[in-house]
Amino acid sequence: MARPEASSLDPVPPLRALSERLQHDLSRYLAFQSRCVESHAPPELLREVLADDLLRTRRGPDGELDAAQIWAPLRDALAPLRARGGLGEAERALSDLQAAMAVIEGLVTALRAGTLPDEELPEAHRCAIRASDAARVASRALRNLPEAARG
Amino acid sequence: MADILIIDDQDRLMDLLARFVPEHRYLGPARSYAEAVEILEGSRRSLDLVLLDVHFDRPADELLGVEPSMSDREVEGLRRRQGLLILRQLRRRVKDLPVILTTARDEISIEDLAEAEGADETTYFLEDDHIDVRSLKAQIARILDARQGHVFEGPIYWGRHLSMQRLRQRLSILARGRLPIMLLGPTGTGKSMLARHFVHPRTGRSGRFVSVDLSTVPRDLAAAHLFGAVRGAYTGAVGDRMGAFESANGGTLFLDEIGNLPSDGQKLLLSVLQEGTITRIGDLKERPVDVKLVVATCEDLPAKVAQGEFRADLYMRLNPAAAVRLPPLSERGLDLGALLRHSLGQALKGAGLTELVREVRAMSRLGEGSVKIHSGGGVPDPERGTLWLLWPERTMRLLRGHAWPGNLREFAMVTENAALVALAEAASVEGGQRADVVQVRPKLVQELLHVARPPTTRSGKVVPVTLSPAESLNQVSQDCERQYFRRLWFENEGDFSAMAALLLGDPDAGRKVQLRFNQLGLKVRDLKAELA
Repeated sequence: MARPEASSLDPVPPLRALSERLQHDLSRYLAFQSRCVESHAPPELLREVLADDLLRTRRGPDGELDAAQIWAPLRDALAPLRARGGLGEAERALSDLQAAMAVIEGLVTALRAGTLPDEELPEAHRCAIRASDAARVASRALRNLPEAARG
Repeated sequence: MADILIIDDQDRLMDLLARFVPEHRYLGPARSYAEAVEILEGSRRSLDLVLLDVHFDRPADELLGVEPSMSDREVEGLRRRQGLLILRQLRRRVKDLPVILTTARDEISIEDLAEAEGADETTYFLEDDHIDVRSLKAQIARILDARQGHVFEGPIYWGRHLSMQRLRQRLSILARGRLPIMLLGPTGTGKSMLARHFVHPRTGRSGRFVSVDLSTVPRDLAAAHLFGAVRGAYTGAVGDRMGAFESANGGTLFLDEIGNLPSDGQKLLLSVLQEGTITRIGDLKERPVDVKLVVATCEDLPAKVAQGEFRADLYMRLNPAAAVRLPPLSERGLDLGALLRHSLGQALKGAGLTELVREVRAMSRLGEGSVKIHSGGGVPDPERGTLWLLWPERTMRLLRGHAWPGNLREFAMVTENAALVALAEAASVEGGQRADVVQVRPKLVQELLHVARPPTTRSGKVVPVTLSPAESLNQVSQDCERQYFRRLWFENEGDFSAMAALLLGDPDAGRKVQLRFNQLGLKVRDLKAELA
């Protein structure tokens, strides 16, 4: 596996940085190409764009990261914040994101193993867009957290 | 095929373009400004466009603007806006090369930040929150067209500022619905044109567009004007008359200055919105009407409702929740070049300017051809038969620094007057080195703007400050100064040129104001954070 980019592996970042990572690393690239095609596009094209979006979610001079690899440190960094409670609307957004990313993690495994059948590609395509949207909503919810909830 | 340079820390944009927009040649991706320069210098063909990301996750030693004393947090901040620093350097090196900033938009207005970093008319922004390949393709095509001299700018509402793009998106949706549309905004921002040329064609209705300016209709006649009247309904009603609602049946009715509608008219309008029928004044017969209603006002309608001057039930029926606010011209700095071309394009069709252009052509022995407007840096190369109307950067800075209380109407008059005087001077004096270029000098525009300045500005601007005791008079005075600098910064959306125009009467003195701003301990970064 390629080496992840240095700044993506920062130790637990502050809230604002977390919000920006959700937007920049996850939301933006999770459906980067998927948004350019329809769910009823030919299976070969859907498979290619999903592979780019979910297996090579970030790809640069330092290597590649799949969606699950990007999500894992973010999820871990969010855990103490969520455990403390009092996040209100943001908790709902993070919970939705976690559910969406659980589906994405399954898709990453299936795509990598080549076990995702053609007939499931349209739904996978919709899932990628849903997860990208969920990451965006969560990013905004974190940014808009009232001061008291920031800890 | 165009040559497009990608500057991005990731490969994803390059991959996407190669797959979905394969008709162009892509160079890069350059991961930093240094790599971009290498590609620019090494390319044998001249580049047509740059696609530039904003957020660069790169090691500190590859970033622009890093200083040894910076904390990790500050360096991370530089990563987040690295593209803007690259833009500033690029603008110094290649002034007219179009650049699209490809970052996703969010709460912080990337346009405003970019403008502070040297964005100009050749800086563009993605037209969607996410990269939509169809709109990106169309955007690239339009930019390349513009670069080849084909004008693509639409009418006044076709601005690049995010507020204008959101406005168009929203109106496109609202136009298709059955509910009324309420347009808000200061006078002269183009509400009427927007209703006629943008909303009406998108309603999908085959009927006419009818416009009524309620500020010009006598109050006694407003109801008859809108709903029609039968013979004898009022003194002077010598025959049956159809009202604006019936004329617009199946189409769009635009009611400008809706706040001027008298109370009887308000009651009738409410009834039309509830029942979908009108009754001509003096008649008993109800007539069904189906119109898309668009209303506009520059007044504070909720205040009028609170004062009992406007019916609350009618106000609620006018769909205020979905009201669309047009930004004042002072918020559309990035669009001024396009607006200038549009506005002067219209003015040049008029008899006065056409005649002057003919005289200048005759004097310059240019023969037949077109008039083109060039704004910003540099002087355009000669083109056979083309007369250039040149608006140098210093002139444009004056336009950008002006507050434009009369908005587009004032802008159109000032720019047409400037063009008129510049052409008249050129027609009366033998040309200089370039007979095909008529320059609109900054001094001329400065004079016109000075005349156009409203009396309130001339007599001084009132800025409230709160006095608090301090240890010394100096501290008190600095605190006052901080307060009004802060307030002016917000009022002028961070435009130091505009602040300089207000404080020193010289929009070119923006740096002086910025220096004082810093001396007072005010930080643009903090104010932007507040703004966001």
